[in-house]
Amino acid sequence: MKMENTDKSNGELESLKKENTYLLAQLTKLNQKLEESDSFKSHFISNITNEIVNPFTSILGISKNIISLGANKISQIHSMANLIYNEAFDLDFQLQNIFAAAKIESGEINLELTSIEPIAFVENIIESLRFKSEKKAQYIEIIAHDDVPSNFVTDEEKFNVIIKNIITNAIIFGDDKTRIGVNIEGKDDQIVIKVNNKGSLIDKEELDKIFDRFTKLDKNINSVNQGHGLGLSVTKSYLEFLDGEISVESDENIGNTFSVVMHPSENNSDSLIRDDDLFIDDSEIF
Amino acid sequence: MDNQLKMFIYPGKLYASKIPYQLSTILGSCVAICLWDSTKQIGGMNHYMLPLWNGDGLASPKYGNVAVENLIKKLLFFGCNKKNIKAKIFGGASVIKNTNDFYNIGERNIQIADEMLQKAGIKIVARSTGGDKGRKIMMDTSTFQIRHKFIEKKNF
Repeated sequence: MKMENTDKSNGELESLKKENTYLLAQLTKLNQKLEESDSFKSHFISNITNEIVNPFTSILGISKNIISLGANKISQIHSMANLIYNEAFDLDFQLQNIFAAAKIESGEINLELTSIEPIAFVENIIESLRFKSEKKAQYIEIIAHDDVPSNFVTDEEKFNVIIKNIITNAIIFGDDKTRIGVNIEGKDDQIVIKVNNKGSLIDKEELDKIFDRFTKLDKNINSVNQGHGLGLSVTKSYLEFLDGEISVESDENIGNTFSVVMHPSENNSDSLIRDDDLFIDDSEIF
Repeated sequence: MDNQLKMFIYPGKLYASKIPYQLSTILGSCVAICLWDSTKQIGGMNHYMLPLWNGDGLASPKYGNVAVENLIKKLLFFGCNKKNIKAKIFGGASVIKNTNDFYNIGERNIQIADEMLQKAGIKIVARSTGGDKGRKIMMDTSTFQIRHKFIEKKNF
């Protein structure tokens, strides 16, 4: 009897030890994050300036120039309008991510499920981003497998933000004159989307940090890379709501690959509400 | 009853309303805290999965410390008084039978609820926490009446 007790408490001791080690590791990680948080803050301010104030200044400046131009200078007006479009597109995208992050953090998030056609949906997003890749002479290739379901139930808006963020990142952080591969395939009832680019590789130890908010691996203020480090954290949170997963691989030969696995969403709330009658019959009241 | 506004509280979501709502959710190791101001008759609910935000990802109400604070803030924003707010807490079961389940997520989730509500000076007037069964709850935000039912084991 006594032996058994000792065995049991030994086991408990062992698991407590394990727990302790795990918690200590967590604490160390958290401490490190706290130390970094101050520098994050100052980076955030400079990023915001780059991402929001600069585009606005350009848009204001260019449109003022257009106003002062004569109506006969249509080609000049055309190229200036193009510049405005570019700036406004980026600005709109940054704001979408900021608002999405604010909504997630305040808990005001709802699922609005509709049925979409996955391949056409991703193709549309790529088309809308094509002008960005063309500026860097990159080529986006989409490979769609036959096993992708033609209908897929998900939240269209969130799906859009997820895919747009990953492809935009692939363009921004990809080298000039390289190929960006977008691969869509079906697996059971899920879809798997892989986006691959060739650019600077992500360090192994930084791989799990890229989904934290305000983390930019390239912390250089004068960096040519845009972004405030919200995109991937929004992407990850949205995927959690949609019951999906994201993972990254960084390999010298293949480049960086972001893989997103999406499950079709079920409407939980519907099934719950359908159970109402039963629920009311034999439930306790608190 | 038929015209009652209904909402399902997904994990990581929180909701409070001035108009009567029927809020429902399904809980495993997650915890839902229901708060209600007895004089204003305004209530809300959250649903969190993990006790503490550790700097990973976004500081969303998926984490207990964020979820409790945000829900209290929301009620205060509606003009509620902390003194009149009461709490009922649910969930935190250990539904996932794991041999090396030393993190005790459910238990930790309950612990953070107790700690944070105590710190905020909010009294817990009812609870159904722990155990090994999932729960379904449905709250009427105008009366603070909560229907509660255990459900069979499932993965959450």
